[in-house]
Amino acid sequence: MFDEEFEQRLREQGERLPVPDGDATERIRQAVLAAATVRQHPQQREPWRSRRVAAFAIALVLAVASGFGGGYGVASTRGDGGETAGDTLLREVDWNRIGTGVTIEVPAGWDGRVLYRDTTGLRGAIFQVANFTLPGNNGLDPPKELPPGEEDPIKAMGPEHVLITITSNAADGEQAPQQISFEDLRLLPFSAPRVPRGHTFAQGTFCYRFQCLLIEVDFGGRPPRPELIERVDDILGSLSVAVDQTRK
Amino acid sequence: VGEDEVQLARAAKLGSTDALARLFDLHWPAVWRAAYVVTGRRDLANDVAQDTWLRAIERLPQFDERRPLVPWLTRIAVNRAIDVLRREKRVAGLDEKSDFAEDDDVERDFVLLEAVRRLDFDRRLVVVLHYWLGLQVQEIGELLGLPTGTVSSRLGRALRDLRLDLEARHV
Repeated sequence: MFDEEFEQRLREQGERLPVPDGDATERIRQAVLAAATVRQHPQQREPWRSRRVAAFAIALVLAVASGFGGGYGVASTRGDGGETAGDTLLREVDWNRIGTGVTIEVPAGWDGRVLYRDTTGLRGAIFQVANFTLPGNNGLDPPKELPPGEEDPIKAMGPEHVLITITSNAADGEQAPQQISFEDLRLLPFSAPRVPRGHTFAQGTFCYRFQCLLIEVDFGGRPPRPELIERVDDILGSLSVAVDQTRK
Repeated sequence: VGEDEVQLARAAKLGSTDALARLFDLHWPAVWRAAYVVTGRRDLANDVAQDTWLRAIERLPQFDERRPLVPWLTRIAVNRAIDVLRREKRVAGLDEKSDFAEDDDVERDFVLLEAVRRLDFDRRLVVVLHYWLGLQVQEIGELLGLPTGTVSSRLGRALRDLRLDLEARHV
């Protein structure tokens, strides 16, 4: 019977398929086990609210419904326990015309900044918080080029560094949980182009009614340091979005 | 399910990286193979297989360790591979000829592989799941969310397509 012979040929071919490459296997094995270490860690942690770090709120302009006349915007603050980042931002934009706001905490000693995704602000904003000094900020102008010989601190991230990036106006996403934690994010394969060599990168998109946020966490090390994961959880746990009730 | 695997899965659920490492070593080839037969590409298979393990780790607390691990991992890998291909709107092509030996027997099978590669994606999927991963029709139906009859008819049509393809090439 032709079909029986044919099926047998198919099965035999299945037995001759290639096998995984040894080098790739070892690389992926290490990555998977490193990720497992990361995933185990949060189970051992106390609830973040009981360990709340000295931090203060930063208000972020997101999803601006009407133009506010700004350029390619950058605003920043340093978490030193003093003035709020909101004060910094209000120097640059008309707070009353802001449609939707996001609030997140920046721990003491960390850095935060906001970049607008285009010159009108209509495409939303990118907010970054990091445990190192972020590239220089220039009000609403595009970031200046680095002086010769100076390395971009994001590109120079080491194992002790972490960068959280929140991008507004994401196209789609799952409904945001009551409180976001690192465990809600998905680790990208270490071979993904988005992941710098030696880094651990996780992301997720979450929607708060009409506002969807892309949240990305970039650890400079692999696996990430447990204490950094705790801090990231603290920060993500402080995230709240004031939903614009006037939007239909 | 062997007692060892049950104990390893239980230990992995409780956070033992050593147990997870042993499970990885045991089942990596099966996971990679599942990713490969669907994507047809080594690089995608590597990514999909890695992602499968990452997802499995996330879902391990919900896994019933008394059940066999491989079908569960295979399900994750196949679904992930399909997601990746559909997202990229990429029709998988099987790896280059260099992956296979050059003797006459394998040469003939390479022709068969080429014919499989030319199949419509939905038909190729049921072929590789059935003949290369050894899944039964019912298992494929559960995996793909299709009635058993649909899987059977796709398999039948795929075999017919393959036969016609090879006959047209006088193989």
